[in-house]
Amino acid sequence: MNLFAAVGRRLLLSCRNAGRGLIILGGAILELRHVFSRRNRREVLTQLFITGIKSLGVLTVVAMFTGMILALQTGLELRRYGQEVNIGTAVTVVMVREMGPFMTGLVIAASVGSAIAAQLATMTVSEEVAALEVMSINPVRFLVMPRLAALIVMMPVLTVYTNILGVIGGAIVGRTQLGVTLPAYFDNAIQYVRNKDLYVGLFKAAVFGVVIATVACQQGFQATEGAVGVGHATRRTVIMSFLTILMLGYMITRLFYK
Amino acid sequence: MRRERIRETSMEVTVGAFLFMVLLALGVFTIILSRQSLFERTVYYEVTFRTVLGVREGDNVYLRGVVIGKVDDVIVERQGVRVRLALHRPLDLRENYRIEILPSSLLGGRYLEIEEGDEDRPAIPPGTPLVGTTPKDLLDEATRTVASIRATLEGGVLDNARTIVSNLNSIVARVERGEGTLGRLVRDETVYNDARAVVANVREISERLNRGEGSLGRLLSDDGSIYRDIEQAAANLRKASDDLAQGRGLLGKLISSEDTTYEDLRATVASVREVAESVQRGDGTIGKLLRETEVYEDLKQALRELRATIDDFRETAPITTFTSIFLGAF
Repeated sequence: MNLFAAVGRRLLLSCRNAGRGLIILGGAILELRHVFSRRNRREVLTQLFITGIKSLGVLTVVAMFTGMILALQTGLELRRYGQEVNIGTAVTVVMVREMGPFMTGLVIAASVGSAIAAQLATMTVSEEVAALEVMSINPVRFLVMPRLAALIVMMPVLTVYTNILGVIGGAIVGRTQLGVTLPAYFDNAIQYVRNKDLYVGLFKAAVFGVVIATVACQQGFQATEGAVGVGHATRRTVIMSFLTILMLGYMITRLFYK
Repeated sequence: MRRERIRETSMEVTVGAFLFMVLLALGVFTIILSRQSLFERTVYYEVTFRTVLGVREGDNVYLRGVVIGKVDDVIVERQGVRVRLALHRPLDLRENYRIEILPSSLLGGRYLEIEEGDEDRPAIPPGTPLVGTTPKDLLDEATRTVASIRATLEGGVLDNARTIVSNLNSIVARVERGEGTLGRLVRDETVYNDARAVVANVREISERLNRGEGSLGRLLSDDGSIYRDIEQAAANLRKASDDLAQGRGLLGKLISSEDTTYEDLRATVASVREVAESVQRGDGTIGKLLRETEVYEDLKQALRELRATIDDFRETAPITTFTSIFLGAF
């Protein structure tokens, strides 16, 4: 009986968290009309800078090595059939369709999402959020909307960056380890990639941005119990973001590629 | 305040520049992936196929092995599939033109190959609907081939193969049991011992031959005397044969096509026969001698007297000779 009660309690809690998250998201979307207001512009710019520019270092390494691993694994298999020249297509299609947005989502969830959750959780436990409400400042407009806007804008942009670096990483491996010339690699790379692949990938990245912002803000606002609550919020943000990105990634792929 | 403003401006520039670069890259990507050149004139053609076997938008179009464009669109219609081609150059199609869909590799992918046709054939008027050759699916062809082979096999070849295998099994079993000549060869050690003895004999003969023993050994030896004798005999035989062939010698003349010797010999034999017959009849001296006893007795008496005369002469000869010599000195 206790087991059923525990499961039921977890289920209800999950539903409540999801509901809170959707309410926060809805409110933030409604507040997006104020994104270019003078007061919010600076905060949005700051979030764009933190999300985009400050993530470039780790994203560069992740993207390059993702492309290199893809090229090496597929290239070694294709070489058994004398088809290693096709790694261009393999790397580019996989990066543009799936790995670009996915790896960007994971990196941003782990770095930016956790930072957002930690910041908002600290503000919540130290009652700064409550103070904002007392001052009639909408915390969603002031705290959530700039982060949501920054992630919606920056996630596709960073995904393009990841795609480019991944393809370049594949080209380096193809040239140095598989003997595929750069013209042959890039000529092959664009053979089977369509604009649809590129833009579905970017759409996916934007959705991942929404997910990261929503989960991070919801977990941040929900934090309790001081520093311990901040840690929990951060950990849960990363886990939930990862899981949601995986599941939504599959659903969006299924939606566009039947 | 000023420092804050500078920091904010720097942040704005950085974010703006990054966004601008990525958007530029996105634009370039979009143009590349749309496979349309901004600076080249594009010519469109439409070709109808019965089926296209998976040709997709963006697949390459080749003319004499050179990429001249891409598949722009694939439209399914009731009559077939209309494929729109976006080419970098116009085509000079003749009546025997050919447009076909070919597989780009075993792993998949298709491309269109265009053959414009022979120059001496009339040109296709502009606006003529183009019809493509129905493509052949390699996998389908392979499946048909396998099916054909299977049908052939199942049509008797397999049964024959099974019978052969069954017979082979039976033969092997009999051999295992030591039945038949082959079975005895395999199972009976006597045969093996005999074979060993034969081999030993052969080896001994071989060694004797190597040592030059016996006629065959000497023949095979490095000495060469027998060989030379045989060679000499063969030369003599050849010479005799040549003489016979050229009609030299009595035998040659007899064998030769000329009948002179034969006729002479024949005449001689006839003469001898005639003489013999004459003698037989008692004609002439010899005949009488042979046939009449009186002549024989007379001749015998005459010979007896002649011998006595000769004996007398022999006895008196030394005295006569001495007297002659003595008297001769005076």
